[in-house]
Amino acid sequence: MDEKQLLKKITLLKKIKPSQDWVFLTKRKILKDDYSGMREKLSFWQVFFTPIKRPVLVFAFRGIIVLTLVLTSGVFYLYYLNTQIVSNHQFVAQTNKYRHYDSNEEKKIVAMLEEMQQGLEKIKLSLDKIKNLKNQGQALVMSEVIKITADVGEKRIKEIKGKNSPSAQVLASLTAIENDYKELKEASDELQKEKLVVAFEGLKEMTLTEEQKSRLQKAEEYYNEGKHNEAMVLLVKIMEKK
Amino acid sequence: MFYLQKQFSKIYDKYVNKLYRFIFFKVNSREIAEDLTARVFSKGWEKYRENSKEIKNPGAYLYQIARREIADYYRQQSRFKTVSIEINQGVLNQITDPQSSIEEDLILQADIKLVLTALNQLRDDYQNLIIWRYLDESGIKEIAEIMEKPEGAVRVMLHRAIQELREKIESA
Repeated sequence: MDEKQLLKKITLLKKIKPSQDWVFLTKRKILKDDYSGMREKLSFWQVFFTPIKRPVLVFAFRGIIVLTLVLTSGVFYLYYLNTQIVSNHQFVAQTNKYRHYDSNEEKKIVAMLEEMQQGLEKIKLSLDKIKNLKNQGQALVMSEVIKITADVGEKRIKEIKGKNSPSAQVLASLTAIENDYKELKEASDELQKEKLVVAFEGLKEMTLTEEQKSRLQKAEEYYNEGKHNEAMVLLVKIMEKK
Repeated sequence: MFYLQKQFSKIYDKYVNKLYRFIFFKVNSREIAEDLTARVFSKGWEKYRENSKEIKNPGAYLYQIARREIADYYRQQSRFKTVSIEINQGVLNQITDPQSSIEEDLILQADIKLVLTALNQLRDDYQNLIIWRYLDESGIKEIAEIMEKPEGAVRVMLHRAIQELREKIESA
């Protein structure tokens, strides 16, 4: 049974859940019991915003307060809007004057983004396949390649964002792909750390030469110091000679 | 106080299913799992109310309470974990899809029993790791905080836990 099949079986257990009625009642019991006991200590503002169990007059009083607040804020908001209309006109005029907008340039960026997106999908599939690779040396190297690719992709997007002044729509697409690269980098980093552990465990059970043992020890030191790249290089060297 | 209640309410919503499931795997009884889960949140709320700023990671804190409650439960009952699991029909009915056929239900229930039995045969910390990583989808960092161990050690243990679980399932 490979890891994918095993994980599929494990995730069946996610179906075990409590009854929603019990969840709701328990929450109410835990939080409501406490609220009843604390009632006398509520401040004016807490009383104002907590559920009403008082005569209608009190509700009416609250209603008047709320209405006054709404009207007052409405007046202030209208005043604010008025000032904004003037300054917005000035802002738009400035933006039109200085914005370097080139629709051809944006078309190129969009086309490139589509290619990058397709490339990203393929890389994600490769990452999934690496998880099931039996050759740990290969898995480590390939995860490093993906990590570097994701890093380069992320930097490229940042460059594009910095050099051009893309429209809001293009900027949103650029940011989405940048985030995809970031996630890919994190996922490959995480996978690499898991594969390092598997590699260590595997090598400890093998018969190694003195030189290999010394490299393995050094690799472990690097791993414990968080220097995963250095650890990986040493492990791959040991595995190549096996 | 109202603000604290609101915050804790969100924490409750986020962790109630996960904690219930975690406790259920340890005690194998719906009623006891409900009782202990309620106690965990009750104690969690008590502490949160006193000083919410002290609790940096509510999830890790609640799991620590849960582990203590489970240990207390075992001490009081003076029993060990059962190796063979009899999952009651109530739980299985909850799991199965009313749209699926009887055959599909039986296969699903058999699979779940198999995995649950194998999981229960693992040592406690291996069991916990698998639950937190693959069912709760917690990150290694979060798990390391709950277990109070370094991340590297957690990764090694997780790898061994999965190997052992696989062996138990394959040999069943």
